[in-house]
Amino acid sequence: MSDETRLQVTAKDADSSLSLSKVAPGLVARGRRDAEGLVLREPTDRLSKARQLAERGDADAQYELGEAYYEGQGVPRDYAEALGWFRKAADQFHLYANTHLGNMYERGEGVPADRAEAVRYYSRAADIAIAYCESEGLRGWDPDWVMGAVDKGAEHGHTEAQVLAIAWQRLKLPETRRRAEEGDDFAQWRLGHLYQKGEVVPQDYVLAHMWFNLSASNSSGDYQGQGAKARDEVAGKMTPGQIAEAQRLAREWKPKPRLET
Amino acid sequence: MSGQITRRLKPEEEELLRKREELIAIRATLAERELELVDFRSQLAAFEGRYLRQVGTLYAELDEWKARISALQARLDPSTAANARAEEAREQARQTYEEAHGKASETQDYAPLPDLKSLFREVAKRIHPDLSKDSGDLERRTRFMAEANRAYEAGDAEALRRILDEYQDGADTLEGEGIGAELIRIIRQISLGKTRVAAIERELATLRQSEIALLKKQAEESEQAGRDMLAELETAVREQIELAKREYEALAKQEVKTA
Repeated sequence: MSDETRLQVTAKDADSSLSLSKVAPGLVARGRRDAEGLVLREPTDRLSKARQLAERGDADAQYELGEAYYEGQGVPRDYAEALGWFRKAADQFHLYANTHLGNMYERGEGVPADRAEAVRYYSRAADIAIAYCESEGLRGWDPDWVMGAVDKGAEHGHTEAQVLAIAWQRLKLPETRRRAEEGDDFAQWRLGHLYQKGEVVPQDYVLAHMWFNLSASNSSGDYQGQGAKARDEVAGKMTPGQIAEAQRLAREWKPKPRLET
Repeated sequence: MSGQITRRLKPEEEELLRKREELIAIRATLAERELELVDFRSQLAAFEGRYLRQVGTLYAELDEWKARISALQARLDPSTAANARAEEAREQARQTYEEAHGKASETQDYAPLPDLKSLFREVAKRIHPDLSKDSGDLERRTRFMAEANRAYEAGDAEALRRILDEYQDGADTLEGEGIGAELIRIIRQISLGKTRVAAIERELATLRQSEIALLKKQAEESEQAGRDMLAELETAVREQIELAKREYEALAKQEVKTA
């Protein structure tokens, strides 16, 4: 046997026990392409572009970078980094950055929970939202008007306003509830609204009906018609038993004494 | 040991000693490279198995939906081109299924114990076929070496030990072999050993450039960045499957309407 044949025997035999990648060549190449294109390159490229713009002071890019750090997308999650970039964007009147900072202070993410600071950011966001809503012909700085403006914006499909409305209402819930229980017709109408929507409190048509009903019967002015209209609307989605229960609750309801402020 | 070494060595005896040492060194190098090769292959095979199970099977599902879509489209709007597309998609789905569910997908994860590595090294040094003396010996060594490769890939240390026990290496020299004959044999073994080392180097280089090795490298790089490439691929293909399903359902509704 020549030396050459020996070598061939060896090489062939070493191969025969291994099936490697000759079995699935198409699939492996496909995975490579997909991994190359949509998994590894795209997000990091987008992020590095955002970082460039953010460092040059672009508020949207600063917000995007903050989001990436907050969610841990393309970078390891880092609340401190997220806070830094959100603050930079928030200082440039970026609406989302302000609401996001409000959320982080409210939940205590990356900072100690601080309700006052959360309110400050939500208020700033509300200011921005009002400026935003002014394009809808709305005016006014009274807190209830702010909510009205935000609500209007939300109704008109502005996502920013919708986000803000939920955050703001969640924060204002204790106050709204207290005022409703004291007999404030506007607060009663608002609370009914919250129970009807179920975004801030769990959805409850019976309670929604009760508060709408109270605001309608209570009011001498603005909310009489609105309350009645909203009450009848929600009644359309309720069983007779539920309506009877809601009416009983409204009948038995007594206002709490008003707190001195 | 024949070929007695006296105090005053003849030149050919000195040469024989040197060559014996060189052969021992070559055996060690060869065993090392052989281990590296089988180790790399095993890692790639294990990674390929994991990839096929985690992502490949999803590609098969995606292609199945695509084939169904093409078939529906051909029924809704028959034409030669549509029929050809449907057939092509069906064939692609069949191929992908075979690749994803084939034998390669069964290879399990790989974590050899250090013990296994040193055992394999020992086996490769003792019984490497390129170090054989004659053709009968070569066949025997080749058979044992192939068994050793399989045992290593299966992570079977017991089998490697058995191979070592069963393989009785004969004396270093053949009976009645003179110094000249032994010298020639050893020189030839050294040359074959070197050729095999070079062949292994080439094979390793080719393997490193193979698609599966590059895919594995991508996965390792993404892991260093704190990410999981296979999981991300999995999510991406699942999304594509969802889209394909929706497209199929929309087409199916259309078919019901036209029927």
